[in-house]
Amino acid sequence: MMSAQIRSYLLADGFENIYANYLPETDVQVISVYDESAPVLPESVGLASDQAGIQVLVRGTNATAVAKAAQDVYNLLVGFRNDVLQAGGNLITQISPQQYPAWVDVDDRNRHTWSVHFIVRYTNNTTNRS
Amino acid sequence: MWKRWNGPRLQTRFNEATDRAMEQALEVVGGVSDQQVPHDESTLQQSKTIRVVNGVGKIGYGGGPGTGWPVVPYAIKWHEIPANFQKGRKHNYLREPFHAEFPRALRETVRRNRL
Repeated sequence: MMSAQIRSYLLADGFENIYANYLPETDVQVISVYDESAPVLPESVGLASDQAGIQVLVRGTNATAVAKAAQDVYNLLVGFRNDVLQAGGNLITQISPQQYPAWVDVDDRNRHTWSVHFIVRYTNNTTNRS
Repeated sequence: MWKRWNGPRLQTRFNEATDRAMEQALEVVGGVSDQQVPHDESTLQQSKTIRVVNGVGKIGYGGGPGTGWPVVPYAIKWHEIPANFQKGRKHNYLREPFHAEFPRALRETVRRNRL
């Protein structure tokens, strides 16, 4: 899944406490990468090109640090193109922003959450497409 | 040969048809979204607003000024943060139906509303 590749890329860049499709109940600052839907490309029926949606949630008790982490993730990923996120991963055509980092909420444990969304267009060779 | 060119009338009909198609397509999205929006006493579900003005369509949940509904403070949180919602409800309750349904619904409604 694309979330695992994004997670691995963020880890390689020095981000810590990153999870894919899981948000643990902890007060430590965490980053969660979720797979989500994206608009389907008309050419996806015949060509090996797909779009995946990615949501990155950052949660922690230090409001400034959380905001900075969300911004750092955005700055790192947006515009990524023509390369792989991890060895053996899919060739990424382009990562485009779908939603700029936005503050969502502070919960009863004083944890702030920021959210940012991306659309990832990538090469995906499948059985019946090439 | 054109004897009577009624451009403004054509433009008006075209704009009306566009707005109508857009509104119908957003209603399709809203219908699917209503099945996914977290549901307790249906406050959030009922706050759905669909509005189309001059070719610009908007769909949203959460009320607020201009919608006729009081602000639902948890609308954004429930859209963005996954949680253990009951009854098959989920976060991203508007984003996912929009991606999945809107392009096809708009093509369909444009065909249905053609001049």
